[in-house]
Amino acid sequence: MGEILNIFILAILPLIAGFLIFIGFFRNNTVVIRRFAKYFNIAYLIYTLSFLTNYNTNSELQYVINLKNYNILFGFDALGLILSILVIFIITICMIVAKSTLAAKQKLFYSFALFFEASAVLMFCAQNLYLFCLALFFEIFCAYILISNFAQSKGNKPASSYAILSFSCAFAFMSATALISAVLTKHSIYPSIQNLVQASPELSSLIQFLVFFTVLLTVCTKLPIFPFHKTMQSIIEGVGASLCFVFLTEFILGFFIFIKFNAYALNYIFGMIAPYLAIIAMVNVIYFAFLAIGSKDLKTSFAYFCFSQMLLAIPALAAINIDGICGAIYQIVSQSLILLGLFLCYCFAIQIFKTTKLPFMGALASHTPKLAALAFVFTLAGANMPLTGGFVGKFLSILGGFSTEVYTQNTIWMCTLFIIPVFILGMIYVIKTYQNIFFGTDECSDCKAIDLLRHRWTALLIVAILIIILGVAPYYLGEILSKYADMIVSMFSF
Amino acid sequence: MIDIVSLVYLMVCTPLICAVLLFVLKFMFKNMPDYINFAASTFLSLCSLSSSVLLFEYVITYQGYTLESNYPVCIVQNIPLYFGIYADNLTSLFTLLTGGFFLIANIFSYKYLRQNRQGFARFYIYLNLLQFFSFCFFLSSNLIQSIVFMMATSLVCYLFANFYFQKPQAQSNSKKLFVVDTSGDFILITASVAFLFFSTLVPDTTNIPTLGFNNINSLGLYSFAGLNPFMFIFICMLFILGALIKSSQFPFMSKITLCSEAPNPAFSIILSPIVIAQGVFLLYRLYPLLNLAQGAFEIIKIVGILTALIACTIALKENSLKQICSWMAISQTGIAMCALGFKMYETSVFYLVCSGLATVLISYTIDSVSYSTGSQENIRFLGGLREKLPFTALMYIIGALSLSGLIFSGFYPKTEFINNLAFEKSSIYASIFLLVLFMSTFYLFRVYFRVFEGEYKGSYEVQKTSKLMKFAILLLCIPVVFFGLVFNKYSGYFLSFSTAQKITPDFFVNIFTFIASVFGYYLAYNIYFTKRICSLRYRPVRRLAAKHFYCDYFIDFIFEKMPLFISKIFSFFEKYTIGILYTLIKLKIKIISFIKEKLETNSVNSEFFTLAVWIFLIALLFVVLYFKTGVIN
Repeated sequence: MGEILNIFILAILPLIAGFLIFIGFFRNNTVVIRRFAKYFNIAYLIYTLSFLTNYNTNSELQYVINLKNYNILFGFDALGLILSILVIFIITICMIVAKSTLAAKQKLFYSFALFFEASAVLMFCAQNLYLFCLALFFEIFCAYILISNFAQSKGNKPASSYAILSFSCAFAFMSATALISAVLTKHSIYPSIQNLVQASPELSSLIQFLVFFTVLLTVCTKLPIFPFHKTMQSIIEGVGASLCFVFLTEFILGFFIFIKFNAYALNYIFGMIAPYLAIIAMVNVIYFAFLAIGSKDLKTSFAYFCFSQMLLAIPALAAINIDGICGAIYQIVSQSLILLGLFLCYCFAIQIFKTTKLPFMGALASHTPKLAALAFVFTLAGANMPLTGGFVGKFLSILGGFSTEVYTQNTIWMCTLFIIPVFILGMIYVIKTYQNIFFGTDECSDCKAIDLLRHRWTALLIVAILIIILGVAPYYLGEILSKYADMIVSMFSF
Repeated sequence: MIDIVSLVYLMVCTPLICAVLLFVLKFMFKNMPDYINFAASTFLSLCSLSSSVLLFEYVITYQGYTLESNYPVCIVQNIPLYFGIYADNLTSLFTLLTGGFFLIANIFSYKYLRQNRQGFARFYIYLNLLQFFSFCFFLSSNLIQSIVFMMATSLVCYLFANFYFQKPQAQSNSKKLFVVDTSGDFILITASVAFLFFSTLVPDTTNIPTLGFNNINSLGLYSFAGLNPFMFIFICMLFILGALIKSSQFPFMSKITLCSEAPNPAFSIILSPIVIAQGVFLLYRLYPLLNLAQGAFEIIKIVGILTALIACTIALKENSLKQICSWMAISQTGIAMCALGFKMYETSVFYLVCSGLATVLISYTIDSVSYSTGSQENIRFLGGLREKLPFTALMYIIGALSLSGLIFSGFYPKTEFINNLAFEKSSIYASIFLLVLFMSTFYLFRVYFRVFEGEYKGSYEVQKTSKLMKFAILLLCIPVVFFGLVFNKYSGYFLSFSTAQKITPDFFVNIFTFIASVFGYYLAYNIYFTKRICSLRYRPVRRLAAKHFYCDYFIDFIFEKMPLFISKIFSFFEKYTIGILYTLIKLKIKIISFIKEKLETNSVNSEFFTLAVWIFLIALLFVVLYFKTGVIN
């Protein structure tokens, strides 16, 4: 059983599947390609879920491949495993939805979606720095191909700006990891992430600062902080329902890099600047939340809403306690699902109205009641109502904020109190958008409004159920996360 | 034999079962007859009421014993969250009220919905959900459960406000209502999480349930001892702010008027103390905690009396029946809040219940008028209905007399409150209360004389009120007449926790109350019936009242205009600052690539080209410098 469940296979499987589609194994038969990709991904999701029974919190299911005296390490910690499952789930939902949203280039889409998935999983399970950088570059390349071919904006604008910014930051990240690898090798330590965590107190402060801010730069492009948000904004504006996994995965990866490198590996620096990070993140959260309310374009406002909700995880993380860290992770997991549901609903509405301008949308509820009902569930979750995942994430974040250690107390407390206006602004945005699309003046008299097709209904229903499960039974996820959070907190010796 | 705890859980779950049943039936049978919804909902509501009567009897019988039961429903980060019941005298009283009000709403709604022919099943589903959430709220064993079910109640209020979603007004109002209501909930959530953390700072304070009401006193003492006073007061202020928003107190008074587009029977339920007074009820529960915070009760007192005064003034100017009803409910809740501010716990509960009963009776009679006159709600287009609807007119008179404190249930709490104020020597508050009483009586009888007396001014042929509606109103009339008397006589049984010293009523103080009410009636009679006196027109107050003392503007400003204004500033910043930054970067890249291209293709002499670019740049710099220094004009 252990042989089957090794992580190397997990990382390589989507690559093989994508490669099969790419080389034309299915002879350009779009139906077969689509079904293969979809069912493969469902099976792959189940396979990844089976890892939950075998994981070991303190990093790690480990698997080592020896290539000419160079060890390649694969291993999952609790966070990596949960985020892998989340990413695979999101991609599966997008593949289900892609049936009716993708008109051409299906071979390219499915193969690169699988490559993208492989690269993301590889990043979650890579334990040595070289492999992590390799996965990062491959992930950016796959995302670039997908965006340039399938984004709906004119020209190649989002793809090229994404590629320039992401590759630049990835090169900077690579330089930082090369520096660390060199230093570690000099001390006869193998350059793995786990060794970096143990050796980081020995490193000079200058090197730590240098690496910390370089990694932070990479995080800023993925989990956008002002003024790096424009690229991600143009991606969200450009992509459709089938491609929403790209930006959601980028958010998740950004958060993963932040927690893995900035918070866990370079904990000394993080401990020092955590309050400042919390302030910067909170300012960004409020800034984006205000922008979301004012925008009249559905996708632009949604992009700002995404940024504000996702960045809320950083102040919670900066609290450096078990509740805060769990709250941050819970916030990312639940918000990813909520944003997925909301984005899919909005994309279906855009498909009906053929515009993204909110003033030209309205009264869809009377034409598509099923869509309206499901969108209402996501809206409530987005407004952080109880019994939804959003509520638990926020609850833990606030609790973490109040439980801060004494030396950072004032700053984090203030940041925690600022969560109240963020709550209110987020709620104003979701309810306003929902009312605008589904009620209001009838702008749908000429358009061809069809209620949800069966596969779309199924996909949205699964997401809605999952959000409710996260809200009703947070214990299952919380149990796994609290051990992981404990491991991180133990690194900080105040 | 079923035990009392199981019975209470059954009582709580009955409306939920009913809602689920109606939901399933709606999807299974597309053309299901309307009366099935009515029959199922009414029967199960009757069952709930019977259970609540049994609970009430149990609590009265075992004085001082509190029924408690807790089940852990989920664990969030080692913090177990419980769903449970905590049934003391206060809870059992409000549970009884909830059961009674919902039974009456079920009976009353049938004919009303038959007339409107829209959303029959939907209405009953929402109604049962609201009943379920109200039960869960009043029986909550802990603070977190209370707030969660408060949020759920807000959600159902939003659904009711958006019931006729085709109306633009309903959409706009429901959106605002949801935002304001849920903002209050979030403030309460933040306060309770802070309280949860600080109350568990001291070891060995883990209790079942978490933040349980059974232990709120000691939790408050722990956090009071462990915190600096400023932080403790801050948390208490957050609780008060949340409760004020939830109970539509100043300056969030117009929140409840946003529900006016809801179906009339649902609106009456929203105006009843089981929905509008949820914030006040939460403050009753947090009484021991607030007692430790200096100044907390002062704020409650001031806000309460201010709300009552302003709401009464606005009601004097209003012509819409629904709006008058909502301002009436707000002003009565304000007085109950003020009584709580004076730490008159028992009086506050007594006032809230008695005025709530009369408010709901008046609200239903007004719904009945609206039903009979084709949804005409403007009192200027009504009149002379006493002859056509004698029963409704009689019921309105009973409700008005009770609410104005002349006789029936309303008399007792009002005299008790004014006597307590006299005892406390709060002459300012007593004067304002008498003014509120005078104004309440005036506008209640203004409505009576304009709606039921004179000549009918409408074009719609007046329909007779249905028997079911009459029956529902009659059911409500009984407690309006007798409840005050019974409560006054057996208050020791009703509220066993009451430790307040009973004050002997002062005859002269009671006379003042009576005179204030009678004067209100006299003025209304002479202005609107005999027309011997002209209506008073003090313009500044009229203008303020017409604009609802800018409370609507305040809510609009806080929740709509200010965020939009800040959003515009940020958008401007985003567009011009970041936009220009990005454009400059792009321009720079373009210029560099252009120069590079020219150099590589050898289309120009590279040295001469470089020289030319440098000369151009230096010339440009000089020009800029000259302009800046003002040499060239």
